[in-house]
Amino acid sequence: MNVKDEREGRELLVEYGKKLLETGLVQGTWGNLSVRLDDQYMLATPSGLDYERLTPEDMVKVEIKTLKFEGDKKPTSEKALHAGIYASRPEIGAVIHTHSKYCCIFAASRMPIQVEDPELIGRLGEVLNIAEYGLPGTSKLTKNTIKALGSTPGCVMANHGMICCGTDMEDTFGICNDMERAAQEYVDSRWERY
Amino acid sequence: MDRVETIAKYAAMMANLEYSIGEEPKIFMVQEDHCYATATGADFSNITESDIEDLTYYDVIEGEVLEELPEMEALVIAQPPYLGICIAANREIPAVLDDMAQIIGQRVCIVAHEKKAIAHALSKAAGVMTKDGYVITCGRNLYEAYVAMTVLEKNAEVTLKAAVLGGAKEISSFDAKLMREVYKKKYSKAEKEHKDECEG
Repeated sequence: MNVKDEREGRELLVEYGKKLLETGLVQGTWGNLSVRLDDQYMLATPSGLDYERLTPEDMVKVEIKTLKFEGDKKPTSEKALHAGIYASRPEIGAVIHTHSKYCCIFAASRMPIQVEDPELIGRLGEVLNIAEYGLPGTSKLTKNTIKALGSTPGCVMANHGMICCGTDMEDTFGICNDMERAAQEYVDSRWERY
Repeated sequence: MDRVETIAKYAAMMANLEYSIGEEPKIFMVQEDHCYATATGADFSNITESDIEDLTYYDVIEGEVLEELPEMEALVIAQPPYLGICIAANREIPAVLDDMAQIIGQRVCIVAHEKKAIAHALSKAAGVMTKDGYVITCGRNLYEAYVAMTVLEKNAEVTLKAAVLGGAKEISSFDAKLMREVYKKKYSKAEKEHKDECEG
């Protein structure tokens, strides 16, 4: 589902950027999010600015096909990854990428997340794949991540973090929280035995 | 934002972290050729001007370390829990996540709490652990030093807990070095300029 207009998209990115910060899913400037405007454009968070200070005007309009952007602020260095997801999956309206801690345990181990909670399986599926390693901001990272994501709501990125997508920002934020919860439940239930 | 406000802001952020930063956290900041630090025992949740000392003319290890590292203008010292486990186990922390490779470097080692050893370690990475149980991170401003501390603690926890999944896989030396250089030259520049502009 696309946002109503560009203004709403900009405000949503500010609102959910702060929510990610408040919930501890991102720290400082780390992680990025975007919303689809239409088939041609997306709005993405800028590179290197922290979420507590972001304003709607800081968000960057990016052409999905060419990655050309408007204005003097640069979009996230992972813009190609966001654009690639919108280009390959027309049903997707928002994308969130974070370095959240429990998903990062799977990322560092290069292991997929086995979802164990039946309620979460219903929303996420049984397994969230692990994308092979690629340096940040490279086409290899984009290619590996889109391949691992397939048609699922999210995946883990080797030695990096996680990415998820949904029909709109609210849906995607929910998936982001669910993935971290699934990862935490798996790890904590076993870590207690160590 | 003036010196006191900046130090108070990051001290409060440290005090509000979801984990303990230990009983003797310290912040050091260089400004206009002076070295300022939080006083021992200062309440990090409410730092005021009287909690900040000018240590420019005193022999303090951390102040001397900053003199040895001209690019660095801030140090943060704390005792976060998972880094404490690594120190107790004499376990160095390799970069197993891109954010550590970029913000801190390829590996964080454990050294004696001595000027030469700490300065040498911080010339290679933005963080070091000391045998007496402290973690020291540095940055070109307080924001960078604070972020380095939180990223390092996260990497420590991730590295330890990855044992339940068969263990963390290190990022290759080539990739880690490349990312650190690119981060210092490009990506962090916008962050640094933004922070300098906001916080002086």
